[in-house]
Amino acid sequence: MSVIQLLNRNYKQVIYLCLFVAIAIPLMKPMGLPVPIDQTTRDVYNRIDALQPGDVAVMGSNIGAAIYAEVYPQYVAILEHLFRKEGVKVILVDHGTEGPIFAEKALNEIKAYDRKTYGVDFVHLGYIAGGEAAISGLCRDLHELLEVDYAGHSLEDLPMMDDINDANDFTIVLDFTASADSQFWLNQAYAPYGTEVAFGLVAVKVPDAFAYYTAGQIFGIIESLKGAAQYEVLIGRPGIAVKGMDAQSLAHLLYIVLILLCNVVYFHGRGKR
Amino acid sequence: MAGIWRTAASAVLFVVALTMLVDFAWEDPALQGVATDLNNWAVVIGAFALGLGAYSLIVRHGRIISKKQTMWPYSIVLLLTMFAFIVTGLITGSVTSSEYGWIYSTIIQPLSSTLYGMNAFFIASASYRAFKARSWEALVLLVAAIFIMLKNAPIGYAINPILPAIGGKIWDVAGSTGMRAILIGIGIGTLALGLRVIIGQEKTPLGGAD
Repeated sequence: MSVIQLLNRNYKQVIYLCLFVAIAIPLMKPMGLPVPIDQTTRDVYNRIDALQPGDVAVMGSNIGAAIYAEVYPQYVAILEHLFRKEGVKVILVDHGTEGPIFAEKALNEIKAYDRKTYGVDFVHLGYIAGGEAAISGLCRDLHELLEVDYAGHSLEDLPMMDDINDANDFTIVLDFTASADSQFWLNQAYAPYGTEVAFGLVAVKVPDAFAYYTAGQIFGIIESLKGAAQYEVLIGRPGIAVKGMDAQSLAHLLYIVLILLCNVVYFHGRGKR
Repeated sequence: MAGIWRTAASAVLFVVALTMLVDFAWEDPALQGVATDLNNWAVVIGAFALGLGAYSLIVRHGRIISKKQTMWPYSIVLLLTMFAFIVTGLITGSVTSSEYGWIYSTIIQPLSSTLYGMNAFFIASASYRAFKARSWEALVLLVAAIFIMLKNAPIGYAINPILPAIGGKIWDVAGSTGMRAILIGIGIGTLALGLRVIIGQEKTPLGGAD
């Protein structure tokens, strides 16, 4: 039986099996393909690397279980980089109900509570409902909007929050999402206050963000798992994203083979008719 | 009577929208205070909307279960999961508790990630079924897709650096230009819709069209 006949009879089973093998093998035994760095990722790295003591980085997140595989590795890599910068203050805020769980997971993964002092070097504000209004509220007057952080501590008891009132005090904002809240930061932080903004996104969200990048309105983009892998390489901490790139490479190669095969079958059938 | 309420709601909407717009363009501390309060009300309403959503979910799925409509057992699963989360949160007194995290990381996260991950398999079978060069336009699309895929994975660079470079050009020139045109169109549309809402021509936000 030829490959084409086999595909014609049981194409779904064959394709699913091939994809499973293409993804599973490199995850178990990485091939170690080199990871080239995109300019969009390098721009984020360079900007974070240039942060000075006293600068404030805000990390917005709408990470949920559905986009965990693509965006969470970006979040961890950036958080790690920010925590290596001496004196840089980090504020974590969530725009989705699942966000706080992943923010705390990331903080524990990089051992944030052992490395730095909560309330002095970093703060987790938790989930704020209201979409764009919540982001606008943070940018207008953070203390007017919120009285407590995620764990219920009063913001007045957290020393680093004394000097942070509105978006004028945010040096950079990085938003990790698959939805519109990245655009909200652009509307509410960049447009009125000129705060520098960058995004960490799922692959399908990158094309519209890229238009803002080429227009100079955002300073960088971490593009899906690929961007996360590049960032892991840049900070010298290869993790799950770098491993995933081998699997993604083979999966993409399989898709290309399937597209070509599909057309061979199509033109073969048309020729016969 | 409904007409009076709608007119009143339109008037409130007009004043609030105008306040926010003027505040954006004109820096006045007093106006800024009012605009910040209005904005924070929206956040509070957003939080209440979550409660309203939960209530509406319970009513809707309660009805499905009581009438034993199609796939009613799934409604039981949904409500049980929801109450399990609520009860755990209330008993432990915090959503930061390890029990709460355990339910999420051992049940919700794997299920949700699996559903999203299955997309990869659908895309694979769709690549074989649907990506046919039936026309010149389809041919252009599939050739572009191949180069973009080679750009988005290290394998493209490993095969030949020219392949992802071509993908990069397609991305930077064709993709970015097209997307920018779409975004400008969306922007103009949003502006027009916003104006219609402010002047009361758009009735949908006030509870239904004419």
